[in-house]
Amino acid sequence: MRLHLSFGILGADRMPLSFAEVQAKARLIEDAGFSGIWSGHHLPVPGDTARTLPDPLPGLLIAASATRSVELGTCIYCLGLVNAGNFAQSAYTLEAFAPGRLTFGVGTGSQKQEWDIAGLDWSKRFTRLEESMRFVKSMFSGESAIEVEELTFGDSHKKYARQRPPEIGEPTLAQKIGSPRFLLGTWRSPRQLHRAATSYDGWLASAGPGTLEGGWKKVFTDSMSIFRDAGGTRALVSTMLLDHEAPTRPLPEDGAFELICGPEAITERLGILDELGFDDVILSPWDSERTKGRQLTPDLLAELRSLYPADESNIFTTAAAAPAS
Amino acid sequence: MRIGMWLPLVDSGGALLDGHAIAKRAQMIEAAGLNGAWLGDHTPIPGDVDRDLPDPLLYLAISALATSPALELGTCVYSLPLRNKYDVAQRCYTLETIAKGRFTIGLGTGSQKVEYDAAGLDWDDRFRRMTDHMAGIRAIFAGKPLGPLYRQHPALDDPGTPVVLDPAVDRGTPWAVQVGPPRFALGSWHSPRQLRRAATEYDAWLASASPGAQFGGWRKVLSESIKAYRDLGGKRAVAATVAVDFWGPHVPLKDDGVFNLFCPPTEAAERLAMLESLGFDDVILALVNRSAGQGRKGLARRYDFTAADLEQVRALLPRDDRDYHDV
Repeated sequence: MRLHLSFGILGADRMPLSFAEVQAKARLIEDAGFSGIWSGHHLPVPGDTARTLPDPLPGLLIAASATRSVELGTCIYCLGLVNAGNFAQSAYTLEAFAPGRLTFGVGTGSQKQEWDIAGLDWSKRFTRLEESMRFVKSMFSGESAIEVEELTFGDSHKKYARQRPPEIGEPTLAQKIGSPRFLLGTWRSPRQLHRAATSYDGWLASAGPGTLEGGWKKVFTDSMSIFRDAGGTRALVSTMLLDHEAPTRPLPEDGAFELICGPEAITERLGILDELGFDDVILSPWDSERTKGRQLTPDLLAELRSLYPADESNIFTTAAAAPAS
Repeated sequence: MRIGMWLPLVDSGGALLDGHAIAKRAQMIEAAGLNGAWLGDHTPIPGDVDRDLPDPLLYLAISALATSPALELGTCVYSLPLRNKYDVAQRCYTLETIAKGRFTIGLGTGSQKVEYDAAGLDWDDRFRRMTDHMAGIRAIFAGKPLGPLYRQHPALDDPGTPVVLDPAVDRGTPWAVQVGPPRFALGSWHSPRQLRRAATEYDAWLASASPGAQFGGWRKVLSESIKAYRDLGGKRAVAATVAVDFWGPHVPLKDDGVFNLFCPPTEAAERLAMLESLGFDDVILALVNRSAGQGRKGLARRYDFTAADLEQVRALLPRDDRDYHDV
């Protein structure tokens, strides 16, 4: 099971890092032997201090500029909230800068207010996500979703149009660059897990609140079974809170999965995830008030990396291993 | 009059530039003594090579990292109503975080109906949507809620009962407020209402240099529009985007046509002097090579400049080193 780290352009004090600091942070993570660098995504809400996260894509761009081979990803990007064409544009632009290294975990997002203030219908989020992903994929396949183009210049009262067939046969920029990998972020919906297995490059599970729906043991076990039975090849779990210096918190099977415990217990708990069949785990270290101000250092990263044996299997070319028995 | 340059997108063989090459091109613009690096924006459509563009903000982010604060970075124009306004606000404050004060985000409705159709948006609603979006973006930077703030989580909460946050609790200052906004410019042709907005609500006006015969030609549109803009108190007028081709067939400049620099450098200098005499503070140029691009499609038609090209461009006008932050 590969270990990855969550990543952002904010420092431990929640203030923005400089460009050089972001680069250095990315380089430290790669040098420590982690397999990937991942960023989350939420859109801001006016006046809501807790919801002014940065756009994850420039951070990944800077990380790409400072690293050689580490995987770069989102966990998750709320695709349904944005223009799918523009998301595809950002995705192929990043893919061009770091060929083969991008993995976009996408999902509906879990915050209704982000949909409400954008004038989008929360109850239709799954449909919109599916339509958006279809559009994104058509960008990379080159299949024209629009048969007739109308060009309009100037104000609407002075518009004129010309029609032309789509440019069949000429590859677009997205086609030339090629598609990054896409993962579907979902908790336990059988339909979504089936989509993750059949229409995406993998499933991105959350260690967060979804596991409260019956607890991590039941949710992870049932979901993994559905995903693998449907032919799913790569299963990742993200939002895995970690604090190896905090007093050990128990891990009840009917609660959330977390790594807030001593190093030995962390190793043991990671072994549980491995046995459940996860191929990758994305760690979110020190996400607590107690450790505010904690900086990533080479020693700390080495300590974290040593919590579980390194897995050198190639993310980019190898299908995930079958679940451990 | 300051000169900004469009960044090239492809190399001379028509291949998309990688990150290092983009950084190099931005450095070349700065080294030539030009004032800014700019890019346009279109939302791609599956299968349509003529609409191919990379994400301009990621290109500008790379450019910011590779150059000094002397070089302004901007969009001309970024199609705001096609996007989620809060997505754009987030992109803006993230850019400001990376390189404070460098960005001028030229915004507009976009001119392509097909991009609205593809996004399931109503083309006829674009100006209302533009106004609404800008209000949302300003609210992010003002840090003021537009209504109750609530948490409603499908796993933690009953979807019907949001947890409303107590407005009396001080939750600190949103990051967007701490970072502050970039400069915003409004891209508009000759609509009096839009010019008023550009003068009173934005930091600059991005005029289009391409109003053709259907609007009365460049001289009428640009001279009338800049007068209206200045009369309303507008401070910075930017002419974008003027195509430059020193090498291809000469195209005479007709008052009732499009403004371009399809002519040798000496004549190009005279043409730019006309723009300057109209009162423009900045012109944004895009080098093209019509002959080389003939028969090519999409991005392959674009031209990759050389240092010598940029020197020629620099020589068209005396240097104007007014600080773009001040205008």
